[in-house]
Amino acid sequence: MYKLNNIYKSYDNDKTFVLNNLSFEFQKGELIAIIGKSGSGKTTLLKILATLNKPTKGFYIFDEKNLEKLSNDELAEFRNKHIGIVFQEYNLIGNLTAEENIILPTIFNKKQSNNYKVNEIAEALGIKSLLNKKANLLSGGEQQRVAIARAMINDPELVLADEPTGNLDNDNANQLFAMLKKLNNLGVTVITVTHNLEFAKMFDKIYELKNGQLGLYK
Amino acid sequence: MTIFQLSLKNISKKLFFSLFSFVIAGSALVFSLFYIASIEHSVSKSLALSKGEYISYVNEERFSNIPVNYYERFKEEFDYVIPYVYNTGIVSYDYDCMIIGTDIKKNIIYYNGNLYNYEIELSEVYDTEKPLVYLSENLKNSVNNNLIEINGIEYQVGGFIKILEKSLNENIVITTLDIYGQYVDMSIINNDSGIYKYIIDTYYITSNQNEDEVINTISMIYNAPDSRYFVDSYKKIFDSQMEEFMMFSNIPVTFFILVSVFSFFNIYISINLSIAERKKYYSILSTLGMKLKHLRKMIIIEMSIISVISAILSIFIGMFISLIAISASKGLTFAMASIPKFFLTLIAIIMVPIILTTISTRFIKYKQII
Ligand SMILES: Nc1ncnc2c1ncn2[C@@H]1O[C@H](COP(=O)(O)OP(=O)(O)OP(=O)(O)O)[C@@H](O)[C@H]1O
Ligand SMILES: [Mg+2]
Repeated sequence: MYKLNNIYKSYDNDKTFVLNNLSFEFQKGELIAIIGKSGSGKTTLLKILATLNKPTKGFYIFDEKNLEKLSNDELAEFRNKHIGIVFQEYNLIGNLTAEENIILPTIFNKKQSNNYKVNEIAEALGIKSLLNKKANLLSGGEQQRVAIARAMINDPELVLADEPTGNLDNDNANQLFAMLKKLNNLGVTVITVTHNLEFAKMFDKIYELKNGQLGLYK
Repeated sequence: MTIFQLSLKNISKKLFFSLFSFVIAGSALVFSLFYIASIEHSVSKSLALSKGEYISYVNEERFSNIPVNYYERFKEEFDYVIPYVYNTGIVSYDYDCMIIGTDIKKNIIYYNGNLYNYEIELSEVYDTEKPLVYLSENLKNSVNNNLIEINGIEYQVGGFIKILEKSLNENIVITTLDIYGQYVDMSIINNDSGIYKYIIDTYYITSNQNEDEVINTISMIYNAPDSRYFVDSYKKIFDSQMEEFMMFSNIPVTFFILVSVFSFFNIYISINLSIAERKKYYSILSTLGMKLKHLRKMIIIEMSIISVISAILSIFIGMFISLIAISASKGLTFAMASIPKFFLTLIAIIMVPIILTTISTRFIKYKQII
């Protein structure tokens, strides 16, 4: 069970709240899309779910564990172990190869990455032939798959994706959904934030972020 | 991939700003290392004593009433001892000469603070009644029928000595201790308490023991609190010669320390600039689970690489400068620094920046990367 409890988030010392008393509960293994207009706070919400941002008020329970009291270092370790993140801008390191980008999260924990695992993930995402290419030479769609592979490398239980269809055509968007679905079938909880309603409709559940609060989309 | 490999791939150019000050400080230290080594080399070549050689100079006349034969004691304590007693003399009312009583067979004399090796060219001896002496070659003209008169006493000339290596243009007369005692200076043999002993001015000693042990042994022989004041050793004369250079050698070391202190700010600023410049890079790594300790480690690795590069540059530049400076100064020849000192310097110029970096990284905050 995961739970955001009465979350407030303000970037301007409590004058305005991007997230305003937002509560959100989801279960292990869910496949969720969150939609909302531009500027509605989707990325803000995702960053809180990713432990990259601390809420101004409220707390976050992750699999029965309250993350409120954790220090930045503890959160970094927690994130590394449990959460995979795919950013809107992919956030690859340009001068590293696709493979090096994929294994980046493993260098911050004691688990050694093994080639077998990188190959297996690359195979599943259809990027095996790209592994030795520099990230800054990849196309947008290729970069995104590398970013997904990187999000998967540490076997996270929660994968978060911000606007993953941003630069993709319909075909690629469908493929992307297939990948996320595959991941979800392995038991990983997947939450995507998007303003693309067509894409969101493929997910099991759709929530809408409006006025700083989250409600089921009807 | 490891954190080390990642750091190698992404060395920040901003950190290279620190390289300049490292190289300047390092070169100064390397320069002083080689310069001092060359001075030491030149000084030690010019010294009268080498390692393991000692000169003990006590006027034993002070102890003439003490029933100890010091020469015998020295021979008991040290394997190689040469005694010297001195007096002046007049040859044929014309020349002054120096009469030295010693152990002739050892083929070495101590004169005027210097040691001279010699060979003896033996003459034929006719009259064994007269005491034997050996002369420096410049006294050849005063010899008649193989005899020479010194201070009114006739001596038989056993041979001429030829000084090796260094030149010595003095009139030197060498005798055995016995002849010196009987004919040159009658007071030298003390029979008061039935003990026959020489009163020696100077001993030349060689010993494999370390210096402190030798000093202690000599103190013990004379029952003196500290023989350091009347024993010359290689180290003692070397140190006194080096004293005047020490101030000079301290300048680069002081410079190194000053530049290191200044480097701390330089490193601190460079690190903060490099973090600011690579905020995006670090924030990506941070989302992937990088902790502050990983960030610190990465910066320390990068700075270590830069400091190794600057150490190598420092060695070349420092050696180059000292080569020029040494060839420009008369009487100095370039000498390699001793291996331990060289490595100590190398460690200092590599480790100081790394230590300063380690301290600087303690100030990094999460705020700077997210
Ligand atoms: N770091 C920040 N500092 C100040 N204000 C911020 C910050 N991040 C977001 N905001 C503000 O919070 C609001 C929500 O931003 P957010 O990025 O969460 O929206 P979004 O729904 O992801 O938008 P988009 O669909 O355009 O990506 C915006 O008004 C934005 O200006
Ligand atoms: Mg956004």
